[in-house]
Formats: sequence, C-alpha cells, structure tokens
Amino acid sequence: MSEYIYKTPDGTRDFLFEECESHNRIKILLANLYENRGYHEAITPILENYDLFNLESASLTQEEMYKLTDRSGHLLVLRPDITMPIARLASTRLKDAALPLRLYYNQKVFRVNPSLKGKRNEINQSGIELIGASGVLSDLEVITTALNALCKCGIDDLTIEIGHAGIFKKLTESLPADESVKERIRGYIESKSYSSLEDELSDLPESDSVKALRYLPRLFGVREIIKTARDLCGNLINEELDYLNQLLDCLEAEYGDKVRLDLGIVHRNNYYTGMVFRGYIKGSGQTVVSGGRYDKLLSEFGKDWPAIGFAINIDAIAENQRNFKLTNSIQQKCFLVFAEKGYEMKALKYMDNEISNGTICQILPFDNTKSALEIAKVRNAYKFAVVGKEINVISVD
Amino acid sequence: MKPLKIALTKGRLEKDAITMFDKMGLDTAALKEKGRRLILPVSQYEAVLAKAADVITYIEHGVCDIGIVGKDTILEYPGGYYELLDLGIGKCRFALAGPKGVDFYGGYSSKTIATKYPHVAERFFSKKGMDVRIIKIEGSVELAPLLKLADAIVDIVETGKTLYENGLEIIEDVEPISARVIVNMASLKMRKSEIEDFVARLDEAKLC
Repeated sequence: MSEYIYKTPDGTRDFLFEECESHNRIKILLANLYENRGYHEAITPILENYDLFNLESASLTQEEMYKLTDRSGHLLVLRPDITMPIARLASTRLKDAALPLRLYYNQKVFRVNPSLKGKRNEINQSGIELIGASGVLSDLEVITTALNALCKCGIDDLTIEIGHAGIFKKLTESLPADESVKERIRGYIESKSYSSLEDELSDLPESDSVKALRYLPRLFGVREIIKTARDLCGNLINEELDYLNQLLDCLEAEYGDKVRLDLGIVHRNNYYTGMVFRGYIKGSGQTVVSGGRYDKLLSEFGKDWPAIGFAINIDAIAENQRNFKLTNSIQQKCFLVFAEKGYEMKALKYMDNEISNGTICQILPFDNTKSALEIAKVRNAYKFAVVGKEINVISVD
Repeated sequence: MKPLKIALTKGRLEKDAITMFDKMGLDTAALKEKGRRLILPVSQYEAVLAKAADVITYIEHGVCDIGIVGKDTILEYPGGYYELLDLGIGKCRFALAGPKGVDFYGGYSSKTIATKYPHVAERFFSKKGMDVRIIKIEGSVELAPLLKLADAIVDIVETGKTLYENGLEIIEDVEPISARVIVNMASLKMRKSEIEDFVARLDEAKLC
C-alpha cells in the first residue's frame, strides 16, 4: 500500500474544528463588509487556461503554477491568482454592465513553493476588485475597505503601507539598461538589498534617476519621506509624490499612523500602474494584504477600464488570531438522542423538534444504552434522551 | 513589547558579531558563556544561535526579526526578506575552479559541474548561456574533478590553498561573499524604529 494515502500533498493541509470555524467566521465577516459596500460575489473556476496567466501583465513564473492538461491536451493551471480570472470575467460576461463593477471573492489560490520551507501552496484569499473607476475617491474607498476588513477581524495593531508603481517605472524609463538589468534593480529594491543595489547601479552613468533609485528602498515610513524623496529625485516623480501626499492627508485624519508610506514597493506583478499597498499585522511575519491599481490590465482583454483591488490572506489572519485569543466554542455542550429499536423515526422527529427550538443535537447510532451513555460523557453532553415508547430525558453529570 | 530576536549564524560569524555587539555597548556576557543554550539575552535583545540556512528560514517566517548570515547562504536560498546591510565580515568569494592547466571553456562537450551550491552554479552558467550538468556534492567538492566526476567545481574560496594543494586552480570568480544583515519584511514595518536603530548602530560598529 502506498505511503502517500496518509498524507496531504506538499504545502496543503486539512482543517478541523476551530480552524474551520475561524476561517468561516472571517469569511462571513468580510463577505458582509464587502456586501454592505455594494460588492457582489464572483466564483471563478479552480482550473483556468494556462494562457490566461501567461499574458504580459501576469508575471508568475511557470514553475510557480500547478499545471495539468484537459482532454484535448490544452494546458491548464490551478488558479494562482484571482485578479486575472476576474478581469477575464468582467471583460466577457459583464462587458455591457454599467460601470463601475464591484466584485468580491472568497477563494483558494494555488502556488508551487519550494518544498520543506513551511510555505502554504494552497492559500485562502478574500478580496475585492473595483472595475471601471479611477481617481482619489476609488483609491480611498479600496484602501479603507482593506483597513476596515482587518479591523473587523478584530485586529487593531496593523500597518498599511502605500506606494506608487509609477515611481519605479518613471525612474527606470530613461535608464540606459536592458530589461534584465532593470529586473535585477527591481529585485534589489524589493528586497531592500542596499549593497547589491549599489553594486548594480554603480555600473550605470550617474544621473538623477540613478541617485533616486539608490535611495528608493530606504524611503519608507512616515510623511517626512515625501520631502526626502523630493529633495533626492528632483522633479522626476513629483506627480506620484503629490498624489501619495494627498492620499495620506485623507487617510491620516481617520487612521493616524496605521497608514504609512513605502516608495520602495515594487511589485513583481507587472499589472500595477498606480497606487499600490500592503498590510502587515502584529504577530504575523507575512504580508497579509496586498493590492493596488491596475489600469492597463483590462486592456489585455480589449476593455479600456481602469481598476483597483486587493487580496487578504485569510490563512495568515486566522492563524494569527488563534495564536492570540482562542475562539471559545468548539466544545459546545450538546444534547444526545438515543433511539430504541423500532423507534428510529420517532427519535429523528424528536431531534428535529429540539433543533428547531435552538438546541444542538446529535443522534447516537448505538444499539445499547450503555455505550450510548459512555459516549455521552466523552462528547460533553449535558442531556441525553432515550426515545422508545416513552421519552426519557437524563441529565449527564 | 517582546524583545527583538536576532538570529546569528553559529561559528565564525557569531564570534565577529559578538565583537561588534561589544563595540555597540551591548551586554554579551550570556552569549560568551552560553554553554549549550541556544537563545540568550543580549541587553534588551534576544540572540538566537542557528545554522546559516536556518537563520534564513527563521527570518522568512518572522519568528526571528533580524538575522546575520553569509551572502553565500542568501544566494543559495533566495526568498522573501530584506537584506539591509553588508557587514564586511566573513569575506570570501564563489569561484569556478578546475584542474590546473586544463582549458575549461575549450572543446564542444557539455561540462559537468560539482558544487555544494547548485542554485549559484545554475545562475552563473545560465547568465553565460552555457548549458551544464550540475551535480550536488555535500562536502570536499575538490574531490569531484580529481575523481573525474566533474570538469570543474563552483565553491567558496578564501585563500585558494585547498584548491592549490589538490592540483586545482581558479578559472573565474563567480561572486564576492560577505556577511549580511537580513530582516523579516513585516517586522521592519511593524517595528521600524527599533530595527533601524539596531541596524544603524551595527553599521557604526563594523569591524572594517
């Protein structure tokens, strides 16, 4: 017999009891929040055509996706991201709908991570996409939705950082370097590798852009960095800085220092064009929210629609909350019902009646009262009914 | 607030780090008299002693906030963390080395490379556009070309003495190596001032 029958595939796991409960609770909280803000749920297939994730805007590598083929030999993937499928869905089935479109999802995504690193390959994501709207108001709407979503989950120690995809694009536009060099520079900025970045940039002729790129990874924190960035970058990225300043003005009034800046956010996802943001919470080493504006993505599907969205990593939040305050309720006291021979339907009807009165009931599938009583003790039952010709309710203590 | 956890690579880097901590005015008494303990208080911080690759794992998962680890390990285990500082200690380099007097790039045959660092070797040759066969060896990589398993090796070289004594020579430098300070991405954002303060003081205490 195969040894594999006892284990789940690499990077996946089973969920039980309070784990399911906290996942579901978060999903419901978030769904309510989205729905109250006028978003509608979209469910997309777990399988998608590989081509969808091979578009120029998507930038996941082949190795990061689970691949399989359909009957005719077409390459399929387990969806590694939800934004691309939503863009496809919006540009086809919703092509004539009135804009803006407000969609939300609560779905799994799949990524192949290196094995034995303790990373999840199956990730529960919840997020929104606001399609066909641009400007400050929609950016603020989406950021505040993300902030409220985290608060609603009971998290108050959190930081949301905003940046702008235009900054890196503008600074590298005029750089006399090919794409692979720019990609390396991007990588060093993303990982804040100051010294490697310095080495890479020292090969390029000194210019305002190079000077600015060198400091980009250090430019994160509170508002003062906008001033520092202005001093460093000349007028190259004034437009982006003004915009971030404006967003910060609005957000700070409401959320204080929960909202910060990181001009060095340079997503690998090519599809981001404007404001981008990430969220962190106390006690979790990972990014729990990631999002931003992607105004060019829909044009790959023939629609000239601006759009913005975010995804929350539900697993990270559920895990984090379990670490801090254990949810209280799996050991709910229950009412057990035992049926004597010939009275099965009567017992089931009795149980339905109790359930409709708001009690949690379970049928005991035994044929003698003794083993029923034993299990009643294990299950933490508070009452125990024996349904025969008569109904005897016994307290278990 | 929980103390910041600083993961140190056991061995030489640990000793250099302790010297730097002393220069920073931190209390390293526990670290010097550690016995067999693996987590030790250092003033307001907590030092964690781990193997190089594990330092990266602990930082990536956020169970430690700051790590001191060699660039060799970073290159072999790239991942999601910030690399904030080059400490300039533990200096050496990755090099490609082969049997003395043999023209490695000559001939048409595809080459076999033995290494403890397959990712580093793979990246080096793919940048060159060379298709090579890479074999992972766990220790004393110099043996592989001597036993004719491989044409050359990619390995860490400090003085080159081991290579020389085994009839090998450096063909080309691959990449310089030194110790780096890495930081968990969420930690840097959630505890910015504490971490920046620590890293800045460490930068000032650099040994060279």
